[in-house]
Amino acid sequence: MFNLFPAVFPEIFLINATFISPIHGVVFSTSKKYDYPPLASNVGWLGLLSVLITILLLAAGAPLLTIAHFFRNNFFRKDDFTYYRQIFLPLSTAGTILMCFDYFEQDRFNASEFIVSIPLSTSSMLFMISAYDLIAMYSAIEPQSLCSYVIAASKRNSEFSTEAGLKYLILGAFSPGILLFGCSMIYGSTGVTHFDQLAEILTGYEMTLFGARSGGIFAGILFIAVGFLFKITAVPFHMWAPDIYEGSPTLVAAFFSIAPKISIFANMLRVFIHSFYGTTLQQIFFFCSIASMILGALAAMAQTKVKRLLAYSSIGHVGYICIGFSCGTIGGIQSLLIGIFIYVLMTIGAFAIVLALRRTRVKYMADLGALAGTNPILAITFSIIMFSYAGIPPLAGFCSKFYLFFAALSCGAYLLALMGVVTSVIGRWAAGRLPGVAVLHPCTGHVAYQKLRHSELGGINRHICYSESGGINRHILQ
Amino acid sequence: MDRLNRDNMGMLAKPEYPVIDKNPPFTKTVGNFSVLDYIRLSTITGVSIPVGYLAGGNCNLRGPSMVTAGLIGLMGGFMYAYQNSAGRLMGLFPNDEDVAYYKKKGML
Repeated sequence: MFNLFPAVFPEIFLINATFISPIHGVVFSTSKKYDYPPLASNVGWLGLLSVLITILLLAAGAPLLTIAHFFRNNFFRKDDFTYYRQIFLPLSTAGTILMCFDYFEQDRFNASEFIVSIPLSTSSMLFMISAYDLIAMYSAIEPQSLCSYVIAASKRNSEFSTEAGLKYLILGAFSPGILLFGCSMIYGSTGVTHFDQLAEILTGYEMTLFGARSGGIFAGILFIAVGFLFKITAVPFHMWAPDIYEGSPTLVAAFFSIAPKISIFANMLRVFIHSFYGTTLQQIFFFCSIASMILGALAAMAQTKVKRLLAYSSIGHVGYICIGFSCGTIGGIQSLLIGIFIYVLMTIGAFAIVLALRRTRVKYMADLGALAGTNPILAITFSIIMFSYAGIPPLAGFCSKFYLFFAALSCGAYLLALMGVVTSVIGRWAAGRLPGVAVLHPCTGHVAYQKLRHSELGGINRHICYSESGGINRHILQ
Repeated sequence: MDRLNRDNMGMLAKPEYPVIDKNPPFTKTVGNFSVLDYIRLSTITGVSIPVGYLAGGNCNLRGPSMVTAGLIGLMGGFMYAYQNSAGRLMGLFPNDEDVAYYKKKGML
């Protein structure tokens, strides 16, 4: 089966390149000849190069999509869905890595191994997206999780970062454990782990929250759903997210809110829409969607710290995206994919601005008070992003919510759509606080602002134009 | 895999172009590299080297950084060229020239 390896060249390349980068980092950072140079930025550029070549390999390998199943037991599948998600994932990773160079310089961050964990996590997520078997899926989820624990605690001289890493490790150990337990119960009840075979066995299998023919299948699907909901920070499994986003370095929080959601939602679609369709506990996802939207809107109102506000906004957005998933229709899946695309673009923009303001130690919302006076373009850019988060037309966030609510109405989930609209209105108040403080409120304390470099400002604004134009040009998204 | 046609090597759809070799070995695939494949390989490597050189500027590590980036680019370029060559042999990429070559050699 040698011909099948070209289909996984992107993954193989990214893993190999990621192994070369830390060797380079370790050898030269401990070299007396070069005077022990700090290599975080240098290894960062190598990591970015690796990710960009991976994108090239993915894009050029599109005709190889006709290779369906490969490896001995058909663990992975490459099709159009895999292609779309796999192209999107390293693009998001490249966007995250681009934000890190200034961060290294400002914080004098010298851990070159930190930047290696991001492409390594991305390579695991590439395997997650193409996984077509419960064993393959779990085997891909674990390396991604391990890399996340490491980078959450990467700032060794910060107790907040260490606390965030420890919390993520302990809580993160539960969710894959629950997921694996569910997979083992499914295997015990059906005897198979492959998604196609599960789909054949479970077609027409009736199951509700109150009864099922097989307790093993019921419990297995329930545990798998809980495991995934932990990973995407859906309510009521969201508790870890705000603390970890706040404690981790800002760049790491940006990565956590962007990349894992792309891969986990891809897994959820394959598992629940393809394999468990009809047996999916749709009521659970309805509940989690509504609860996430409500909590995301209400909790964000009470926040005073910028990163925690973005964390709760992220939880709220997961609720909106779960609307598309809960519907279980083609329209729902399409709206989910559009929603994730727009959510990732908005989140990259928001965190890029927070990172750009790091020089001024912006931590609390009140610290943004002088932004309009000192950096009016950045203030306007930030306002556009937060209005997009709030779903104000004609920005991209509005279009994403429009498709999601429309999908809910099309499948008869009227309560879901209604709750989405209500929480959107409430969430506008929360999301509008940041631009309100930045533009309208005078600064009450002493804040030192430094002029941004033109390259930084241009990069952020170009990103905003591209992402918000997606709201107007639907053809890009469909 | 039992349900898929084993002759198709697990492929979902029939290849669009004539199949020269369903399962080309490594040596045949590398031997089938066209001029364009070598150009791709050298372009990716060539772009990676100055990226590494520039990346090493901040920490006075231009030379080693250039070598490491070149190594990464060489590996990526080789995989890119291999992907294209294997795709042409398997009938997934346009392969008129390859078909004509193998027909001329009597191997098709």
